Amino acid sequence: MVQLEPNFTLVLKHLASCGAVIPAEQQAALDHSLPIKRIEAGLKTLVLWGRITALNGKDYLIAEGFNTATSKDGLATYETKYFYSQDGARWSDLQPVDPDTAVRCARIKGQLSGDAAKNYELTEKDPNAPEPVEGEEQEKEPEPLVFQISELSVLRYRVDSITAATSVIPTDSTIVNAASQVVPNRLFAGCAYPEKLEAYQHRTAAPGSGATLAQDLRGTWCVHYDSFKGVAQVRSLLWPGYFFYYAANELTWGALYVGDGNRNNDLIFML
Amino acid sequence: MAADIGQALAYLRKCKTTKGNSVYDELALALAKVLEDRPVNAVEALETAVLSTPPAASLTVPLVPATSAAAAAKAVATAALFGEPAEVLDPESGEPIEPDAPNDFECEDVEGDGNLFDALGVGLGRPEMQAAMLAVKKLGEDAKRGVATVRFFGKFFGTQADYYVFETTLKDNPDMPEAPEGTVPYEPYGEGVNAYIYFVSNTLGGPLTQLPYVTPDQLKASRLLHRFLTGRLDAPVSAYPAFPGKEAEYLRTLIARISSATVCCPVGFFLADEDSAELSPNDEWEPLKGREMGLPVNWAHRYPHIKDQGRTVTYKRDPPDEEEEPEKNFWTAEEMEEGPAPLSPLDQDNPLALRDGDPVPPPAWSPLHASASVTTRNQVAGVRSNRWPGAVCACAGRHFASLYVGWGLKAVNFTPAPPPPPAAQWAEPLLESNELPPKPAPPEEDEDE
Repeated sequence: MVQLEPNFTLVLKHLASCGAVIPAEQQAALDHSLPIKRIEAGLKTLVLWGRITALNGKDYLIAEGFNTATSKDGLATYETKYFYSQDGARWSDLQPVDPDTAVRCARIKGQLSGDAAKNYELTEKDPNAPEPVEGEEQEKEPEPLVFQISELSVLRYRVDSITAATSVIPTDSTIVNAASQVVPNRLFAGCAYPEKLEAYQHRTAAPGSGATLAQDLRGTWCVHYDSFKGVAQVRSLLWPGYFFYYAANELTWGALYVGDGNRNNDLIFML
Repeated sequence: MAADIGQALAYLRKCKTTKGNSVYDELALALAKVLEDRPVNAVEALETAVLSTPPAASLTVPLVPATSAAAAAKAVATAALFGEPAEVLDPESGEPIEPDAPNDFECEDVEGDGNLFDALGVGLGRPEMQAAMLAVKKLGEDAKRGVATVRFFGKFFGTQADYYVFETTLKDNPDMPEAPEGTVPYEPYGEGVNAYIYFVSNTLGGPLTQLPYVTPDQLKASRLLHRFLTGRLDAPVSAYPAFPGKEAEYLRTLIARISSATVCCPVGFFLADEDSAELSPNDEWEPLKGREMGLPVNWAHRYPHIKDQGRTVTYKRDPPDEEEEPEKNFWTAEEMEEGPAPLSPLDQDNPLALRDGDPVPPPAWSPLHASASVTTRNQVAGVRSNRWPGAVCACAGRHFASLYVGWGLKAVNFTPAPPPPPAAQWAEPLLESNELPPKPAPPEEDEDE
């Protein structure tokens, strides 16, 4: 039997040893609040994506859901919706960000504050202001533009960045059906070599394209494979906090992100 | 008839039992034993002697392909932590060997700590904390190690394997050599950074390795590095800036820095003696209720602060003339560092660096609560470190604990050390330079030559 969607209990069980844990109260609440939210949002699947830590202790739980995934031009596109919750019970929409805001969100580093209504102030040089000419006196400096970036935009930007760089699934665990939709491969036989990075791929790679994690930059992934129990743990070193597990004997897999959402830009000095 | 018997005996001599003898020999031995002893229950004795296999002296590794043998051995070692220890029979007498009397040691309620951390959503989850508790018990009861106290420090992740760390004090400290002449002396066992001795293993229940003592040079070098651990204690660490040691020493410096910065106790639980900074338990301490322990101001640092010099107590060199006052600026800034008072509360820790977009710098510690509702009773509360992500402290009434689960990385804007200044090529003045002394006049030539 091949899984159709990750099982939350198994994900927590296999990734607890990586420190990817959820408070007991929230774990109990998710059993009830996720199915309710899935129906409210009209989604086929809704799973816990991960947890982004916050400075005031009210971490953001992120849930990811989608209805269909289509394959086009060698890429599998998942029409995902994201929701956030700070208590595991009440879920709110996490709206997508436009490209300009995304560029500004990238400038905000460190942990988020945990106050969903907070705005970060970023200043930028005004591109329309007249250029200062050398030698002439300045009457006044051109006013820099001030942008108010909401914390939820930064949160959505971080979730999008991590998803684009990770979202690991076992290679060939999805397949394209007659309607060009990417669906779970019900005849998936398991990975032949779970200790190798070739056994895993990004879900955005079209099935059958042959693009696996082995083609990612070397040193960004590490695999811990227990050959006796048949469980592999794949950890991202570029996005520390992203963990993926694959259990060969039960043919289940799943992932969780627990971290502050920042990329590890010092990776080259750390290996 | 005789031929059949002959064939049967020949067959019995040929067949081998699991022990290696032939069936004929085994039967002969069993019959001989019964005839010799003439036991009362001869039939049962014969059955057990012939048909039973000897009990396994220890848990044997299951038959697995060679590639998974190491992983299977690890699983067996962790499984051996659980359950009653199997009786080991002396192969000669058949009597059970008495195990060594378990060592007398002290430890915290590790499993209870696991429940506190599970409520807060930190740590390793309850099954792993159960195994950690049993590993603490195994280390503590080991008569050969002779530990006095054990604490589960936490887990470090590595790219090839992880480390489980146990913090102990031994009944007999090993010898520590003196620091080389002219360098900052090491802190002896039982004091400062070497107050505790650490054991690590790659898996719970696996073989433990004792980490060495830590030296001031290693601590200073470790502060310049920002590296992933690999999981092998003999792995090289860094060529530049050069780290004096392998991963075992590097891990030991990380443990020293993390424990000094993040292991905490509730404020008022200990009292610090004014002069010696020795800690003594405070009998009048009352635990705080509810979510109060989520505030950093209610926690205090348990271990002394490590100074820039790499020691918890700065070492000042003796001035050259003992009687006179040392001249000003004799002692370096490093030696004059005062540092925070012992048991300083966490709200006095420096906040993290200011970042773009936010006028308020992030605090050093964040609160953690078990329940989203303020009025839930018997809530666990705690703090987590923002400077060392993965370090947490939890408290529920009188029960509190600290744990570290992480990569061993400090949340700092890391700047790699710049390359060293180029070495001067020539120590002496150049061959052609105006600063050289004038060439001596040549000796006067003799008229005869």
